Amino acid sequence: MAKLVGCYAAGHAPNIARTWETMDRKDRAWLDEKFGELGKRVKAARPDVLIVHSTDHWCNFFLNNIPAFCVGIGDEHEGPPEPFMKPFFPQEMMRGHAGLGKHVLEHAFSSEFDPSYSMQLKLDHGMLVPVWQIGFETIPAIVPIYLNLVEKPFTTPLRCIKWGHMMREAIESYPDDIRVAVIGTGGMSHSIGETTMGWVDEPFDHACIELFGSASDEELGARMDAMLKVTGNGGAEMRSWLCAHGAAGGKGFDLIGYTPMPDMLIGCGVAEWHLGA
Amino acid sequence: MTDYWLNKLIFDLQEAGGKGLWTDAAKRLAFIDSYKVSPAIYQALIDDDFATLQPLINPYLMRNFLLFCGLDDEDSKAVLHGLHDGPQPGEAAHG
Repeated sequence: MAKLVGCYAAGHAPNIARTWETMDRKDRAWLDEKFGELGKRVKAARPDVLIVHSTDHWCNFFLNNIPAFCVGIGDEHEGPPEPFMKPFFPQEMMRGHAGLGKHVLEHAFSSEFDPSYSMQLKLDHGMLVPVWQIGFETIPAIVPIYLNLVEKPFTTPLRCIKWGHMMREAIESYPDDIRVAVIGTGGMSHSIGETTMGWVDEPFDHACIELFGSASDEELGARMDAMLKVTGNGGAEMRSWLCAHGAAGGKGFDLIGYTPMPDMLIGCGVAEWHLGA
Repeated sequence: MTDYWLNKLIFDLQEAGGKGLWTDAAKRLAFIDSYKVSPAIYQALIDDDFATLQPLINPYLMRNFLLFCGLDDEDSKAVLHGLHDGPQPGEAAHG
């Protein structure tokens, strides 16, 4: 049977890629250290497949059709469409895992979720900035899970936690002997393209960190729902973290690092959840 | 209120040439002409009237749109902050 071997989260600001060679030395050193630690942990877990949760940044979907959740069930997916990602991902296609993707989809339907699905998605910076920063020698197969976190209304935080629970059940009921890691990308606080652009809401970020370590699902869902109403729009991406949190099962949270990073336009967080016995 | 055709124009601009197209006046006009935007939006697009456009554009597309207009992050923040009509953030209580 498949095994969940790790649950992680990390920021995915496009400026990390856009300004990688020119960014402030202090930011670069922080990213090297914290993403480096994330990379050590993920690689030590030896995942065969990554299930990566992220929002779509208007690369796959438009206002004529926006799924709340979309499961990538293809054998392969397109590499990033953004020009600034090409130096790090020159390949046109990246490996998917159709078997696990379809199993997740079917398990979701039998668990009262109704996601859409796609046999070929574009993996944008949201999916791939953390994958790049982990520093794999060979990138594992990716099952992308896109959430809509850019155009309201959004799925609720509690629903994302429950999605995470469903995801773990799906992984642990997949018959093949593979190792699977779940990653939530994005956040922490940020404000993009709105009149508060550039706002990094440190109290929000610290409150999230506290809640991930201590709150019940119900409290976490309710508090996040309230907090997300009064922070910048990019905070919505914490729903991806909630999916990873739900998959981990509330056995403990380990913050690898957090720092406000105004030049990247985000509060940058990197984290792992304990999986328990 | 998100305007469908205005956002479609910006969405398509991502792959149609982005900044290179948009900062060329003739190409910009030709591009706008292929979308069913209202006369007010049409004029605002020609005039870089961000105050009119911003409430109608998805924020993530707005960010890209400002880049296509030739504004970097600092310039984009200055434009957007200038449209802010309420108190500046920073005091939200999340405790």
